[in-house]
Amino acid sequence: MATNTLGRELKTWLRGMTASQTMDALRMSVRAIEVGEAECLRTLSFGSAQADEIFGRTILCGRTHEIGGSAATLFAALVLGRCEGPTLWCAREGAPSALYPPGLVQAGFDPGRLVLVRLRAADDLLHAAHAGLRAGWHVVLERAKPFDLSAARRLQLACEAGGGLCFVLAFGELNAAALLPSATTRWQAAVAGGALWPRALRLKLHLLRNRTGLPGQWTVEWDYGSRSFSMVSASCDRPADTPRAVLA
Amino acid sequence: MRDAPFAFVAETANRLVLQAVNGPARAAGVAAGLSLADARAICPQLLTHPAEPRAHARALTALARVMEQFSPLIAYDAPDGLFADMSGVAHLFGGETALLARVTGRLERFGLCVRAALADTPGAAHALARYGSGCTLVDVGAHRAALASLPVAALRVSDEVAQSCRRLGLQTIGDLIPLQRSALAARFGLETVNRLDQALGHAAEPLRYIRFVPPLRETLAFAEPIGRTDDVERALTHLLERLCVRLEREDKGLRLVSFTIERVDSGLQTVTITTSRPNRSPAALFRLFRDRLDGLDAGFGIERVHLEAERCEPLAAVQVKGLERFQAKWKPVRRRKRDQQKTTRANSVSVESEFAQVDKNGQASTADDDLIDRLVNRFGHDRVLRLAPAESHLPERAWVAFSAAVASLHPAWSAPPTPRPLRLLARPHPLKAEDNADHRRPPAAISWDGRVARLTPLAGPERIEPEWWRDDPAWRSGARDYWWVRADDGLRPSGPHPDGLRLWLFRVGAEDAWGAWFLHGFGE
Repeated sequence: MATNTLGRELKTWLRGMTASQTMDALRMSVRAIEVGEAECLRTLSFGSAQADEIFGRTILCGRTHEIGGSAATLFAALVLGRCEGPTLWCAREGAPSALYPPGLVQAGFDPGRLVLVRLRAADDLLHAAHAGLRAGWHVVLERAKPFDLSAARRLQLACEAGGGLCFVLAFGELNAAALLPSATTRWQAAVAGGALWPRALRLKLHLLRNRTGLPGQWTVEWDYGSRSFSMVSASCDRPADTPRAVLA
Repeated sequence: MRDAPFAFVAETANRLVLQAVNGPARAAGVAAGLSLADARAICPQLLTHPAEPRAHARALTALARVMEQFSPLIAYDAPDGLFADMSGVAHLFGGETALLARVTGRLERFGLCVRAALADTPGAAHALARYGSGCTLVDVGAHRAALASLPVAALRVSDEVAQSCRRLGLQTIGDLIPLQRSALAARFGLETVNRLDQALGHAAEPLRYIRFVPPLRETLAFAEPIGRTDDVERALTHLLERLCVRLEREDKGLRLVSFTIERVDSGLQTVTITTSRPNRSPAALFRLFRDRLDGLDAGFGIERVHLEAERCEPLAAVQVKGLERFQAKWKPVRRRKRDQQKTTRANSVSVESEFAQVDKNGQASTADDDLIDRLVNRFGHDRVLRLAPAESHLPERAWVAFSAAVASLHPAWSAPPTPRPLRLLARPHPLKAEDNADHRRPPAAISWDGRVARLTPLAGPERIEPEWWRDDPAWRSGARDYWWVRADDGLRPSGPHPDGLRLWLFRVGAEDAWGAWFLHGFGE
């Protein structure tokens, strides 16, 4: 009887959702059954089974992620484009380059869900990010200076409390002394090849640090039409005349 | 001043005319409507001051509040009078004579020259107050006789009508009464007949009574001055709760609230917060205030605090029961929640959790609005932005930012037809072309801060013309040809982008006069 009621309520609840939301919700409830309620974190879907296998287990909601490299902004925009919900973008005022909304649209992220906070002081930006995370929003924080330990920990706690995604975009050289000590994952992203919108784009992703698993290095392809990631084999970039023997 | 002849002067039709005169001036033979030159001739010691219609209107409103103690129904008799409905009131003050004396006495204490009349009809009272002996009491039914001796102008008719009456030998209202109505209407218009009937009580005269709305303001005074932050916070919570209860009764929500502290040294400090949607949740409002309280300086102590609603908007209470079980676990989709609120209505507001408050657009204040309010109140409207597309083909003008507190706008974005960068430079950065053999194509290499990068063209050119109807300094150099190029790892050593980059370059100029290359954006 109780199961029936639950089923009916679930059905009512699912009716108002888009297909991807439904999938997210079901995936989450399955995970809740698998690992128990306490351990349950919202996972995202990335558009293909292989990508889900790798990124779905690393880029978790309710955790902080640091992204560096030349394509940091692009990678954050692409991932956020795959998930629902309002997003707070905390940008440094006076930075040489600023987010350009028409480019975001092309990356599959609707700027209509974005609230942009432009501030000069790093502490104010951090405060805004805290407030956003606690409210359950996804937050992108542009940062040039490393966090101190307590600030990093507070950011992590706020992120866990809200359950949104938190991306820290590292501007400046990403090296061993990374910006966010508490980051669950640390990525380095760069564009491979020179494809432009609307042709499929390739990204070289380097997972430098992974608290929930092993680091790794992948090349992924982003399809602008279906807004999905797919994995590309390592040999994809070989010149056309490479002999088969070399590959083997 | 009270004993000297005094008049307010206003300029009408290029001459200075007396607008209002006081008792001594009247006694000296000066009357309103006289030109200043004539008045000076009659009464050389006349003091004058330019009329201030706004201040007069404000003063009249204040007097209306004063008159409230005598009658619940007060109406304006603009520009210089007030009607008070005294039906059934006089016995409270000991009869009509005593009442009239009390009213004039009360108003004279402000230093005013009061002319009052108590009569059966508003028209008669108006006429007798202005053209009577100063303080007139007319017995019930006697107004007809009292009016008969007054001039026609007392009837609230236009100057032209009064003048033509005089010319025809109709000096007083008494002369008008026996005349045939139809003849009177044919010559002076229906308005005159109507005014006469109203004064005599043959026609109804509805008055627009003033409704005084008590200001949404709460005050708390302390026996001992307070200074600790905790105490101020507690006082604020208390005031917010009181104000929100009042708002709930009126189905209103706050948009702009100010909190003022009064210090013992009579210094005033105010903190004002705004909300993106009407809000009457004490907890949410308190959170908005809390970030700002640090700016207040208690000095030697605070002896009084005020909370005032400066702007309110309708906010109805609507039931949203049914999904709590899932709402607790997962965040519901906002659109769905709103649909529910539209369909179910309730008429009680007692249980907070079962009700959402919706504004006039049917939108509920949500946790998201709460966040935006907090950010806006802390950082300012120009720092917390939402983005909307704009109708322009110039890259910099293709979007606009507006304050996130303007919540009703939900712009629809569509992708531009050609590739656009993800990050745009605040101003284009000049590049030094190292090797530019073919002028129609981007250079093979550029140097940037002393480092050289090799370029591979990806797409282009895309020509963007300036908008000729707008003088934009950045676009004065003319049309631009935009190119997408890929720069190799040459920028690696200490630049911000260690890997290869897709760059958005442009150059100005045409076939015969090529200009310099500029970097305008990054593809990632």
